[in-house]
Amino acid sequence: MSADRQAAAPAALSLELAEPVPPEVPVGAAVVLQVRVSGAACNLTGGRIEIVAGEEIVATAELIAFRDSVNETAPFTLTAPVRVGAFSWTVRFPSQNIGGIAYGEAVLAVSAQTRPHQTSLAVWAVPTPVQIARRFSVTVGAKSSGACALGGARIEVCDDTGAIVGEGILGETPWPGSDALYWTEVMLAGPIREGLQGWSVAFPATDVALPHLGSSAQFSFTAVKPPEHRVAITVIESDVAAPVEKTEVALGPYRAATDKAGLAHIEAPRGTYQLAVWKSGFKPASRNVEIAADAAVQFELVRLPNELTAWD
Amino acid sequence: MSKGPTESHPGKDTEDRPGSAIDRRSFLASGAAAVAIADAPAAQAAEAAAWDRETDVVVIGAGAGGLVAAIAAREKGASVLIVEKNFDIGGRAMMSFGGLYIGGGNRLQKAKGVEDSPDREFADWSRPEKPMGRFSDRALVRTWADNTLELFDWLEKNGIKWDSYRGVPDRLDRNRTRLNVVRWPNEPTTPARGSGFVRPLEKTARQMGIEILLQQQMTKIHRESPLAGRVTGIATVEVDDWFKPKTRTMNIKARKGVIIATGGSAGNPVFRTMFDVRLTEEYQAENSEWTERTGDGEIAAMEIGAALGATACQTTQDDNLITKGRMGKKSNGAITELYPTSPHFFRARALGLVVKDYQNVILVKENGLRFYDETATTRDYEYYAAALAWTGDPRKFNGGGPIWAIFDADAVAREEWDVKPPHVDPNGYFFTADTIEELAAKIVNEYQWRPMSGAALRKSVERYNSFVDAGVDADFKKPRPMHKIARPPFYAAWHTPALHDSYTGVRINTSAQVIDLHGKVIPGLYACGDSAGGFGQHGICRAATFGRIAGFHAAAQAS
Repeated sequence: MSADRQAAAPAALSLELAEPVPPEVPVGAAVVLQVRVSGAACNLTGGRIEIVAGEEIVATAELIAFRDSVNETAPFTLTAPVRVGAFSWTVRFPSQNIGGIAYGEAVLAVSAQTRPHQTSLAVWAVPTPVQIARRFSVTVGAKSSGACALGGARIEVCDDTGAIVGEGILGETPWPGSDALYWTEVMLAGPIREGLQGWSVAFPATDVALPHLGSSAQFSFTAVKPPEHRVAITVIESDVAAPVEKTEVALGPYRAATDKAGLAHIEAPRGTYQLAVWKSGFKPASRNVEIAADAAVQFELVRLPNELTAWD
Repeated sequence: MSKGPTESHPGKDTEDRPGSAIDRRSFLASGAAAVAIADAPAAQAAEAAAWDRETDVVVIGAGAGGLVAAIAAREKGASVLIVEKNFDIGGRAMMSFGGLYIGGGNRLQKAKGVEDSPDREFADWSRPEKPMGRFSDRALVRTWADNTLELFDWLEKNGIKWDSYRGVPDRLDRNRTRLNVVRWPNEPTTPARGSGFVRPLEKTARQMGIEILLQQQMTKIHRESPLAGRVTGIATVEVDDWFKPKTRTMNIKARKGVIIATGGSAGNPVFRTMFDVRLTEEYQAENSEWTERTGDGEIAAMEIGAALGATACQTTQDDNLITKGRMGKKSNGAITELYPTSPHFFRARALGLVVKDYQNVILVKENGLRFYDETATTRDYEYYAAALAWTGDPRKFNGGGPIWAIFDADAVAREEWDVKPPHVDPNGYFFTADTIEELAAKIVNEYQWRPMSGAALRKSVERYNSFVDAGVDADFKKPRPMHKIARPPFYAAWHTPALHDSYTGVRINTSAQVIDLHGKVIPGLYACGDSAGGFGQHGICRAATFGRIAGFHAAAQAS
């Protein structure tokens, strides 16, 4: 730069962000900033940028690139406040001397809002049917949208009247195969009436380090009386009278699959049930059966025509 | 001298002038001078370039129909050049199961004691009680039936090895004529049996001196004047591995004929929506990683006056024109399968997952809602009607948007799926999450026009799970819902219907000559396979039948 230009007063600088900060970010979220400085067609490489929160400098960055009359930092990350609410940062180019030229301070105010993380639930390993009045367990997992650790947080399970029937504390290790699903097995009081039950899990998320919104989920099962009889169900293919293995069998709420001999066993209390049999590639079939004693039932399946299933 | 493009090398047979290929733009600039001094027909003709190559018969497409047509024409003494857009031969047939409806009483049928005849074949495939048979041009059906015995022997002579008859009724075939070929040994691209049809024919073609120009896309069919006179040749452009045009163009003169064998139009949303407006861009053409099937042959023919034939065959809702397909990959046709080591795999990006039992998934639309009994068979057109129904996109009223299969870790175990690449494509077509809401939020796809509601998807899953307990699907009557979607992780796999075949194309007569809008033959132009309309029969035999007829007929023309 010439001596004449060195003698001239430096132009006023202006600051901007390569990408604006989203108006709302989750608490504690990583926020990426990249600061651009323009206004002086000079290379300010090596210049210092400060990020100020309140009175405190929370981050610094260096101008590393100069092109098209604009200087810029590399992208760098700040952490959003961990409390919910409005926040602001000041991006500051402090007064400094670069290449023998003195530049005055320039600032840019950045403001945004933090919001709690969301949570969501999974409920699995729900046995069905469940015997009336017999305790049983389900597995519950909770996930933070920020993949935050949720170990130690409480979940509760309510029956269809809203009564709490069990509580659990999420473990410290995520469910295998998951990203960050914190889980626990919860023992529950047995249902007090027969039939389809719709219960719920609540995750208040009030005992998690960062602010989170709570969540809930529904799960269902069927409550039954204790079994009385053993039913043997044999499934054969109608045209060839051959056993059909790996066939799903449902006797009312009771479930089983056939073995290589086409045989499945189910224990159930007396009553009249719909016996439904399912195997892909066969016509779905069902019929009502009355169980008053140990019984053997044979079921014939009809294979679907090839022209309905062929894909070539 | 023809009124077609200037013959810069008259009399030179199939002579290549690679250095002479000129850029179309520069030709048009030089051609403008000629226009100034020419009369009107000559001015129209002058739009084409000088011939870079010359041969008797040009075949567009090296699939089942094209290879057969080329061999047939060469057998009758014609010089033949094939142009193929892909960097390998085979077309749609390469990825097929390699089955032909071919019978009529051949030696294999006789050995099995199966009685068959051309009359029986004709009766089967023109059955009025079946939509698949009622709309075909019966003259073409008759031609197919009358040719199958000869074609059987002819294909054998040219290298095809027969496996066996399928032995069960198939489409309109009453358990007589569906014959599979033997897969080409050590085919490196695909385990599909279709290689057993196209590789032997490729070998024969090359042995006969037929040149196959790969990565050349036909861009125009030249005719003496735009809507009159003989077809004189084609223009091509070199394309890259993604079928994108490069700069080098070529004009190829065809002294006797041009045969369109471009594989149909299933991959062209503009073309296919002429017949069914619902089939918008989100529906992928099966095997498009191998062959795009953009209707380029049909369009080029229509630009010089060709009509379409028996278009009702395209909308019979009887055959599997649409399939449920595989899932977890974009080009999700049901029988799509490439080896991950195949040179073509970069276009496929994944193998896809096959659902053996639809009790293991629910299918939801872009809004997270179920829409039909998932166990519907692949030919249940009420399923497709529901899948293709509008869900609220204010900018797009046709088509139904993506369909997603939603399932859990237990389903993965039951189906023994491998849910990692190369089996699935995590780049927009397969997603994994810890919870249902998170899964919905992760679904980002080029055809998903709005974010899927996590609450809606959760409600769908919870309601479905309650149906499993109740034993009844109160919404869509799925037979005895068997499995809940409960155990994490959860999965969403692209399971939008895929398009299988084209059953209409340019109108042909029984000599495979293309017919114009006035019912007249376009001299020198032929079509076969999925690019030809008139006979709604799936597969290779239709292509081979009319490819062979086209080759013979073209070779017999005067130069």
